[in-house]
Amino acid sequence: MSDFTFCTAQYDSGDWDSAPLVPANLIDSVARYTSISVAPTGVTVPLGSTELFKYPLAYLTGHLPVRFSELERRNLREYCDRGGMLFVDDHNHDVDGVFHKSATEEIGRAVGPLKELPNSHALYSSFFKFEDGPPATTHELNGWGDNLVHKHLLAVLRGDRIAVLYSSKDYSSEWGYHPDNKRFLSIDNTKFGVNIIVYALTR
Amino acid sequence: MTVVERVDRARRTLRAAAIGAAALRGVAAALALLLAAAVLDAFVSLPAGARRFVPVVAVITAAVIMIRRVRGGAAKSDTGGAALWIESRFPSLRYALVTAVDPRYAGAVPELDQAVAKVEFEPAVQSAARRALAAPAITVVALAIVLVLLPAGAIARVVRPAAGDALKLARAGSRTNPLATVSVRVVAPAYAGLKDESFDNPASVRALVGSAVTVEGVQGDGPVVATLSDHDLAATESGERWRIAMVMPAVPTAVRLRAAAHERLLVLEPTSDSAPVVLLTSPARDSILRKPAGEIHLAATASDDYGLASGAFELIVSSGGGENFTFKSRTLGAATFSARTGQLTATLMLDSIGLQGGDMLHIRAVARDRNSVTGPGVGTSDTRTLRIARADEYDSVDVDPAPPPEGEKNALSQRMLLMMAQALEAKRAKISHGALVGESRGIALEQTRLRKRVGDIVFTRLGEAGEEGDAVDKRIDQPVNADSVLAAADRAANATVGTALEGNEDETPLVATNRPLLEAYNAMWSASSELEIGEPGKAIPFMKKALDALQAARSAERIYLRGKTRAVVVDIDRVRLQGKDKGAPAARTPRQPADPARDKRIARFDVALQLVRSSPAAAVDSLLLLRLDLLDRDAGAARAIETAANALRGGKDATNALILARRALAAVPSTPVALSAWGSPP
Amino acid sequence: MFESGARAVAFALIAFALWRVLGGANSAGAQRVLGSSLARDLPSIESARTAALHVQIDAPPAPADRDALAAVAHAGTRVTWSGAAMPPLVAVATRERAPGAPVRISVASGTTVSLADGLASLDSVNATGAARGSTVDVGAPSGALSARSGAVVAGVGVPPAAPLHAVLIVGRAGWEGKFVAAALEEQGWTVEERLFIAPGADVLQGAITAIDTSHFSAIVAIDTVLGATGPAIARFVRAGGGLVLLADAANASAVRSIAPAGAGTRRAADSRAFDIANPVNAMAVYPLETLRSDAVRLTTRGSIVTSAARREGAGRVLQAAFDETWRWRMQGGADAVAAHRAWWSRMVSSVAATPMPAAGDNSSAESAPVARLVEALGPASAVEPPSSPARRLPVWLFPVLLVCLLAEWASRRLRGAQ
Repeated sequence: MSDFTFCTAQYDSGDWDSAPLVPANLIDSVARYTSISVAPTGVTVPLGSTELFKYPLAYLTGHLPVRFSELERRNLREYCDRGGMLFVDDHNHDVDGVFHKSATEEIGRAVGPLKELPNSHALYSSFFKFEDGPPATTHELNGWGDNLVHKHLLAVLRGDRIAVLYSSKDYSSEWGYHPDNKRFLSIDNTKFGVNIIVYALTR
Repeated sequence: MTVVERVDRARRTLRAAAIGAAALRGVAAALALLLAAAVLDAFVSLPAGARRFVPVVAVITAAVIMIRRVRGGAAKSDTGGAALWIESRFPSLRYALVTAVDPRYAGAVPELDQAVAKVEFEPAVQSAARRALAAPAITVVALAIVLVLLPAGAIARVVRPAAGDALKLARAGSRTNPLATVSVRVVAPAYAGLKDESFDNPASVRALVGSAVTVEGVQGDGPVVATLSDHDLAATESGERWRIAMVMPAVPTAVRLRAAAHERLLVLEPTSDSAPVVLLTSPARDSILRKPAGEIHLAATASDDYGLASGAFELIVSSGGGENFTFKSRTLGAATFSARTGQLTATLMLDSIGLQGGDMLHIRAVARDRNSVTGPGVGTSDTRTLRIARADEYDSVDVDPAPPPEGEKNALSQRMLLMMAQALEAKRAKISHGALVGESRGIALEQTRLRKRVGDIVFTRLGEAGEEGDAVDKRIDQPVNADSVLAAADRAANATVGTALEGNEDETPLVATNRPLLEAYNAMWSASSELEIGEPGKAIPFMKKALDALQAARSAERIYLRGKTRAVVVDIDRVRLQGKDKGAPAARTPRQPADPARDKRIARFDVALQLVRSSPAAAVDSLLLLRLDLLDRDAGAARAIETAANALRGGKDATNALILARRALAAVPSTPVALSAWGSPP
Repeated sequence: MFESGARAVAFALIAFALWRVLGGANSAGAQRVLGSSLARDLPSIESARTAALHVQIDAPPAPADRDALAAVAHAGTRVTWSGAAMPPLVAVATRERAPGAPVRISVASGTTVSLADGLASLDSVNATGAARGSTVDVGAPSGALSARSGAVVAGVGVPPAAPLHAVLIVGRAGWEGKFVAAALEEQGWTVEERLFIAPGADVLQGAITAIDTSHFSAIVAIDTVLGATGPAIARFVRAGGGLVLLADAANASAVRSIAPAGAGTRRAADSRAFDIANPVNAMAVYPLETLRSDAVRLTTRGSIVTSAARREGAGRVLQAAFDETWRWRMQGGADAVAAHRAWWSRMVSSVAATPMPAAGDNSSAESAPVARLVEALGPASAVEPPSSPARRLPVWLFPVLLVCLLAEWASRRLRGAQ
């Protein structure tokens, strides 16, 4: 029985490594709330490599334009067709931003068009309950980026399963701190991250 | 006229007649062939491919016959031969003529000339020439008359065969099935530059999305109606023909043609116009530039299946870092195309776009095709990224980020409270007054708590943190006069710091920093007052003002430290199950089978198979509808079914095609047998 | 007068010869019949009680006719048969206990055999290789299946699709549980599952109230975490249920007593890269160690036993050493998703408990007609059987006939007639 290993997808363009603390923080949360066997560190895998298929959940973020190469596009399509899940988060939290525009365009070309994920989706109850859908982030509530509180996440589905989960909420900033600093928070804001991982592992 | 001259003249007459007769026979043979093909086509409707050969075969036949006949008449092509031919018809010459034209005796024996002079053979020669020409000429004329009398369409199908001429043989009439013979004409969108196409009795038509598709037939038993995606299209009538025009839809669709008791299915299969393929050839790879100076040669190639319209290089410059990125974009080297392939070239002057250290330049080539119906299709190349190195490129800072500062928490909470108040105001009409006041007071309580926290920050910064307990609580339980508070603080601060560093001339940084917080404090006080009396609507403006003030305060102070962080290795054993919250996962829902409709499709195919003998037309329709369902799911099975349907419709043996189609439909995936046969039933 | 007499004698001799050849039965001697007229001739054969009967056949007779011949032979008539070479042909169909499982037809013949169902031809099987047999999977046959080789037609009884219950997957939440459930569900199985995430927090699918053979056909244990399901598993298997123990699941205390073997220490796959050509060998394994005496070894990798099975009560237990089979689906070749599904479906179907299906032979023809013929009447006669008196023409017949005709002809020529 192997461990769950958190995987960050590396793409040719952009700053794919803009949230280096998110993997450790989510790994910490998975261990903190579940008995899931989890590797203590994450890995970074090029989106265009066959290594990607070793990690059926991958996380992708950045601020800069996302331009997939043809190899990355083909790999991602195959990855999703086989049951892999890609979690994309806009580190700019800006629907007018260049990451959002370029990433949604590329995902559309590679996997399919993104659509709003209903807030009653199984993702929001896969471990913790999120009655109102995706939790808001401080960056949304502070009015940065596009100054919007996004009511829904977007997703590309294969059947009724999520193949690509897309967030404009900037969880990358929200979760981008050292896991030891969780002790300063009255409410752990990474619990939704646990839901994403448990959803990928069980649905 | 000498004997030799007379004979030579006769020879020329005979030769001309022979050549003329040969030509006429050749023409007659060609006409006979055309006539036979036209008659045969009227009965069995020859395929266009076969009809295309008929004129060629007719011409070749005519030429062969003519050459053979001319060669056969070569015996009379010299003077001796002509003399012999005359001798055979005038025995009284007793070889005098042959001898007289013999070069050895020509003119040397007067007796021979005299004997020949007595015989008038010219009329016989003329008569023979006329006879030779008469029969083939009559044949040619007779065949030509018959061909002229044939229906125009019949001979045109043979002489100028073309796809779509099936209707030329069909005859209108009240008993005619108007759907028995149909012709489909496809006019592709103008941008594609494709020739128009016509098809006789097609089961399916493939064409570009947006193509004009016209179905045509001869009128007969009842008006023709086409059903396309649940709406009916009536046929227009013109002379003996009916026509229905439609546009090739974006998804495969079955058109059901109906007339009285007759029905026919036509499948419209759209083909898509691919987006251009663009290849950025220069710069060939990503790189890092020391200085934003110099020029870069940009080059790209583009190609499209129907034709390119335009192309350009797209540049995006991203500047900044951390949470503050700015972007600017522009295009370069725009070009228009009128062919299927094109090249883009440009020179980028790096000095001209204001690059700074740390900026990133993203370059890609973009091409658009001429698709004016569903497009234009946009093709993009891979992106190359050029980064301008910073002066401190190799400096690094190890930073452990701290938790969010207090100010951010306040902003977050104020936004949340504002949203709660807005939500309460929105549902005000739907809830009772008691409930409204209750919820409003709940928000007011939170607002008051937040106000106290803001107050703590402000007064701590203003150097009064030492005054704890009742004194502070007492003071911040009422709106404060910001100016008096700030003035006191400013005095105290100036006494130690000295001169102002920035801000308005009359305001020190301390004042500039804290004024928004005090404004927020006061707005919060007003908001909580309104909320206390159950007026969330009136509280909202104050809450918004408080939020704006908090954000202004935060902007004034926000500082980010960025650097390469250490790789964090989580101590799994230490944190395992230390979380305070417990999860309660919802039940999982099952996945759908990989192809839930497979069995239904096989059953539909089996039903169609049973119809093959009793009602082939119905079987063909069933197969075509089944194929429609398979087009985007199983191209192999769809192709096999199409072959079978075409064979059935053409009255050919479809056994093999049906077997292949069935095999493709019920395909069993091959799997490696990892286990032995132990698992077979006992 | 002489000529008329000679002519009459000739005609009489021809008529006699025809009678002897075609219809003349000699109740006291042997008889020769054609297979095609066997049904018509059998009543007279049975009543005539001939000493010997030879049947000339082109194709195996109908079962009723063959049985009648066997009865005649049993009554004392020496029955022999000969005919054109008839290839032996046997065709047998089986069906896995899995949703939508194809019908697997095994053919033994030594010739090329064509398969057909009630609707049309299905396929042809080349059974001419060294094994003189072959196997083909048929997706969805309709009506009676038959196999034909030349004139020999063998019926193929198709067992009906077995009714199946759900499959229960138990273990720790992880990629294996996810992808095993996905594979089985996509293959059409009904899956219930209990995946352990945290204490008191299992991911459930289905009610999982009673673990018995009326609810479940099989249980798949993906690791040693069996939780509340553990105690019921052994009872379920003994009652006829199926159990698949994956990886190290056999080491769980609840199933250790019924497992075919113990699970050893995990061994990684031979190569780092996933072997697309041989996905089963590309997976890590927990080698099966200390096999029980009643365990059947199914697959090995070198000296390592990778799967084994045994019966426990009325049920079956399959232990597969493979770890992380999900890698096959994610990292395998182009057809990996379908192959992984089929592989898992086959594993589960090999142990699945099913209610006894109704009789499924929907074919009226026999599955081995030539063999049954030989069984009933013995092998074909290598040489022509002893001449049948009823059929033999007298030696003198032809010379006398010739003489009569020559005499009649000579007489006419002598008197100048044509």
